[in-house]
Amino acid sequence: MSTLTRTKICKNIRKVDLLKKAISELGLIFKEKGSRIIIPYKQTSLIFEKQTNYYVATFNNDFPELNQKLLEIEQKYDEIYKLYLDELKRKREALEREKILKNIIEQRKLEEEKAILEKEIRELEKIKKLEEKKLMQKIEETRNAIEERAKQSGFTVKRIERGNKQIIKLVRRL
Amino acid sequence: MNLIIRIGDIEPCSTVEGPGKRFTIWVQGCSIRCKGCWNKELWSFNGGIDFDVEELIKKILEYKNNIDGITLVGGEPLDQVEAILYLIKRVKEKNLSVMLYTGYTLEQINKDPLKWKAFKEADIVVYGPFIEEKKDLFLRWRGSSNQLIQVNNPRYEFINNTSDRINEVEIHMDENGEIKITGYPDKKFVEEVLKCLK
Repeated sequence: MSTLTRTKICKNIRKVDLLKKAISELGLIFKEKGSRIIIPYKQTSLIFEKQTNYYVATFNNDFPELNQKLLEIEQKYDEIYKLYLDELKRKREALEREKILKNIIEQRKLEEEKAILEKEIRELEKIKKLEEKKLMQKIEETRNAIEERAKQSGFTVKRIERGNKQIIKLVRRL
Repeated sequence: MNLIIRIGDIEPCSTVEGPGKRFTIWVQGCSIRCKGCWNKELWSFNGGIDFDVEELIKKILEYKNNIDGITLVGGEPLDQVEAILYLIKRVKEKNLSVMLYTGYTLEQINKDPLKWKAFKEADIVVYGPFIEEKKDLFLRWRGSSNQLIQVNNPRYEFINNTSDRINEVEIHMDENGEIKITGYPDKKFVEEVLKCLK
């Protein structure tokens, strides 16, 4: 009887954790030797060995049932991998939701701060207007008082408005 | 290099610093320092601010349509005679008149060719030191009776022919309530105005 060792590239199998999980879920025993996963079977074994981006399976072709096991492992791996991807997707979506939530909270916080600042500005503007009004009153009172004194000193009084400026022109003659 | 003039204050439109409406410039620094001077804060050559004469001319021209000319008062304008002479020439080119105040006597002015030139270039010059004992508030545009008026422009000949005894004061109030008194107020009146501010 000739012995033929058969090698198969398992392109889909990339993650060793998922491979081990698939083997375990199929009720098979395995051992690890370096980067190799070895499933003993009778006097031979099915071996998975890591290449750069995928695994390569090797087994003795004299045991066609090993080829069947390999197919089952690949199928199981695909199922687990799909679940793994779904889980990843869920996690990513949860993160996205968290991020959006954080943004919403941040946005609300900013809007609240903006509202507080706007309120403060409105109050300050109100105070400013009141102070301007008081100042205008004070200027008017001062102007009236100066004009009164000027008249008492014999001046003729003339008011001149020039832009924001008020001018009191005083003239007296001998 | 541009000429620089040191300035203590500016009033863009005054009616008490010469005939008509005048852009009045109080130059900073005075070497004469008359006893009883009203503007002692303008004596120091360190006070005020430096102005590029060209910038000052630009500022004057902003008011060109509202003024008859400029008045140079001090301080002592002829202590910065080079800048003053240039300013007079440039302002006259723009058809604005120049009234110049100086505390120098005619003899002193005569000895200095630049001062003399400024004296002749200005349209109106009020000259001579302020003498406290001769102080008279009713001499229009003069502070004491020894001061004389030289009219170089026939347009202002009426100044020589008037004998009006007139006392003028202007009180400028801005929107911040700041007050500036210009013209010829007596000390008592200034004190009374200051009381009104309290």
